[in-house]
Amino acid sequence: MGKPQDLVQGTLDLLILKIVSLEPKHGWAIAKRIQEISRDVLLVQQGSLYPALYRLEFQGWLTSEWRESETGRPAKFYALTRAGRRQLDKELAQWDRLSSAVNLVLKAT
Amino acid sequence: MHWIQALTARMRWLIRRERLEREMDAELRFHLDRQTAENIANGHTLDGARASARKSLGSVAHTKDACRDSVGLRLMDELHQDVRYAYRQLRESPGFALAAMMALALGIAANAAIFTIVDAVLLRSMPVEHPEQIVWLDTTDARGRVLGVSRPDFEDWRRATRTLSSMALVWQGPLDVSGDDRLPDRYVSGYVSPAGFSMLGAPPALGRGLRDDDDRPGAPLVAVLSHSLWKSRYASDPAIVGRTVHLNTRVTTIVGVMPEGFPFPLSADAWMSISSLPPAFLQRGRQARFYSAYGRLAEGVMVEQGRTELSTIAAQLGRQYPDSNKDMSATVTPLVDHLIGRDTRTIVWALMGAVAFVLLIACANVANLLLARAAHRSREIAVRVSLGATRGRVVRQLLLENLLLASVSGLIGFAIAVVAVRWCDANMQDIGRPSWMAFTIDARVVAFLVLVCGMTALLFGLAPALYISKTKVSDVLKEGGRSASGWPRARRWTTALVVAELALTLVLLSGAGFMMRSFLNLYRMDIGMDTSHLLTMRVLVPAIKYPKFEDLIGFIRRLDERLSGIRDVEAVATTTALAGVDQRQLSIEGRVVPDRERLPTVLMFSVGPRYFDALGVHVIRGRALGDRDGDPGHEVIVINQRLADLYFPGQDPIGQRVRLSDDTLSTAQSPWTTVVGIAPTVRYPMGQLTTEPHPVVYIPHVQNRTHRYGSWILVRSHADWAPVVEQLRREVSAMDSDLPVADIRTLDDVLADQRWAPRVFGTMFAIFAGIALVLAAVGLYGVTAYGVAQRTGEIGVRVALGATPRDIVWLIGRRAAGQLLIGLALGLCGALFVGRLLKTMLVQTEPTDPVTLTAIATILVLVAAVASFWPASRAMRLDPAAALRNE
Repeated sequence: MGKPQDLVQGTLDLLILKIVSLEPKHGWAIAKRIQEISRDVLLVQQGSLYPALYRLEFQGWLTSEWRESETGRPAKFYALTRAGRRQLDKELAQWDRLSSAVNLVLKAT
Repeated sequence: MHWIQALTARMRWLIRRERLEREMDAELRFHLDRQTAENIANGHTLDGARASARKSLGSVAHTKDACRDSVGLRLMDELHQDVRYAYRQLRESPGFALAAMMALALGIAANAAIFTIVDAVLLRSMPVEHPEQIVWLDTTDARGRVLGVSRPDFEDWRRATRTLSSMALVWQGPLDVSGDDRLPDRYVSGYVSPAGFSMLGAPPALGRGLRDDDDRPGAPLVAVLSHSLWKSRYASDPAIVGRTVHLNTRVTTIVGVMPEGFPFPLSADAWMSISSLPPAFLQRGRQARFYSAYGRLAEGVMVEQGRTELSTIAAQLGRQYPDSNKDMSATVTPLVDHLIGRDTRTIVWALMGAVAFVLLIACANVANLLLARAAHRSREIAVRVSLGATRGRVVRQLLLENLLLASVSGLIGFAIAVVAVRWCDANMQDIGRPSWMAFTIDARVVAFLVLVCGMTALLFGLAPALYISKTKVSDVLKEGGRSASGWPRARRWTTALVVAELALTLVLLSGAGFMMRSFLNLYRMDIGMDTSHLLTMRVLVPAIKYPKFEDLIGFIRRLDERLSGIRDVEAVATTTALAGVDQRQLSIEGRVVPDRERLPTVLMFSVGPRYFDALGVHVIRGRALGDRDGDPGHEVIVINQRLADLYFPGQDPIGQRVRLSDDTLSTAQSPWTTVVGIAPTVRYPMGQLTTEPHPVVYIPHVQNRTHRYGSWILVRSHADWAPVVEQLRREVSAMDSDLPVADIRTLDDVLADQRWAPRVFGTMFAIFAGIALVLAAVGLYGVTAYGVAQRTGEIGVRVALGATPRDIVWLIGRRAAGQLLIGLALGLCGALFVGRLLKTMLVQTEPTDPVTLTAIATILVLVAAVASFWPASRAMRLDPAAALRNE
């Protein structure tokens, strides 16, 4: 396993939106989930995770709520809004187009 | 996201700031604890787990900053810091802040106050539906004189017009109110076509307005009261509608009350339908042009179209009725133009220009102060830049400082303006200002004020900001901040600003000078008589009581006789000379004039026998009018010296016969009258002295067939006025107990009122010019003093090397003198231009008047010399040793 990859800006947004689209999660759980699913390839730093969460909430794509976490302590849970759902679909479509285009180029040569 | 949404979101965050910070802390701590727990689960010790978690998380402060940035709070934070910094900067130099703020506050206050007047006079519209459609209608004769409208003409216009959707005839006259539980009193009546009411679209405050049925012959008499009459006479009694009172001696039912400030084109205390005019007032002839008329243009019709159509109709009538309507034309004037004369507009705009100049000068001053400070502060700024402040941040901070300065000045200025506007409103009440025109600060004025503050900040901040943005950090730091290397560059700016200030001041001063000079001319000008110890008053003789001409003249004759018997009164005379101007065409027996249009026009006044005694003048030649003059066969006339000079040059007019005709009223021949005396030239109208004195003829009342139903009385007495007035009232009521005596005032008061406009506007100009002069002096002083301070070392060296005090004064004064000369040259050009603009308002003052201009320039030079010599003399006395040590 090499050095964890730095995430391109925008990609992190997409990942966050995708993770919370299944169920509301708090910040640590989001980071953990990304790390787990990517099999430790993608490590989200706190320094970029929280600003991204705040920005997404500020833009109206996420809402937050304090509630009891799995450990019993209250934590701030983020959930997707309707506008966030639309944004996720848009970004997913964009990502598909981009990655298939990149794949095409790579496979052709 | 839409920017408004972004802004509200930002504001929300700002308001919930504390909660945001708390939540952020809690959230990040939760993250840390969760990570620590995870690490422990992975086999770390407690301390190791925490340290490792900390390490993997990175700087908490940095994360928090980034989070704040995400929700746009960082910009707010920085702005907050900048404002605090700006505030501290201003606090640190209270002298500068105070000087700048006072200069700006004065400029802003003057602008806000004058803009309030502009707003009221020129911008705010009348409370009428589509006021731009309302037009004033008049007849003018071949000489361009405005005559009013006659009833038959009006009817013909109304039948023929296509451009006017409705038209109304108005007659304004006396209104005697009695038959209620109060003393009879006299007010002003407005008889109007009901269409004139509905046309304006202003609903009554109480009851109803006039309706078309009220104009039918035989309709019951009804009246609509004005708000002021309702308030003053009936104490705002809501039960007034339906009551009957005697109006002009006829039982009339009150059907409504109009709202306060009802913008009726003619002010009146009660309105009645025009067909209810008492028969004595009815003038049905085509030549009886005693009415006023107005109308509303049809939808989409331009004033010009209405004008064209009405003059066509008038020409048609001229062919149809050559006796009465030959060469008569009709004019159409927008109501606003009719109510607010061209002169008022000019003067209001001139004032606006003057205050704009004051503000510009204030801005130039503050800009200079800022420049001096900027040169001083370049080190501070260089340090800030080298410590990591971006240039943008520095400029933003400077602009904020300016905005703060302008805002505080704006607030102070607003407070001053509120007081000034209140003063203006109270002191410009009864000067023919339309009732709907209130000098109040409304949203538009506030918007203007905000705009001015912003513009001001930009104006005075521009030069310093440009200057700062070009400062090189390394240069400043290299010099160790000992001397401001930027000064020569800043000096170029300040020189330009001072020149501009001086030029603007000269323009303002000369404008004010012209106004003051013409005002002085107005006051100094010899009316031709002694105006002191003269009382004027008016007795209104109702036509209903004295319907026949002989009755009226008989009453006036008795009035003259009885009042002359009063003790302590030197002379009393009735006259029409104070009521207004009556013009006649003068023909002289034995002289042939090719056509009537070429006859000279003279003013005609009918007067009682002791008129010249009351005026306090002596007839120059011949005799005054006597008691028996004017009887048939004894028609006589007294002319003034001016008329004698104009039309009897080198001749003795005594014994000559002349005829007075009125080509607007009748073509009938009036009798020949004999000139029996020459009176000194007295100016009429007494208050307005803008022109050469008029040729005047005086005739006995009995020869004045068009005598109006009001008699002005002139009383000369050196005694106390109160008992004299009491006796006069008693004598009048002894003759007819129903007649009110009105408008009792001294002639000097009447004249002061008539000269109100030049006095007030001249004073305003003078105040603004004074402020400008002080500001310019302060500016020149500041710049010169700063120059001296900057060159202390250089001066020390020069003195040490043997420069004489004169050399030093010259060194410093040279620059000031140069600025002054350029400023004077530019200012003179501006002054000549402004003089041309003011020309219409000047009385016997040429807009190029060399005396005024020289005087103004001298004042400016003297003030400038003092302002710059002061610092120069300080430089002269500099101790070279101290100066060099300073370096």
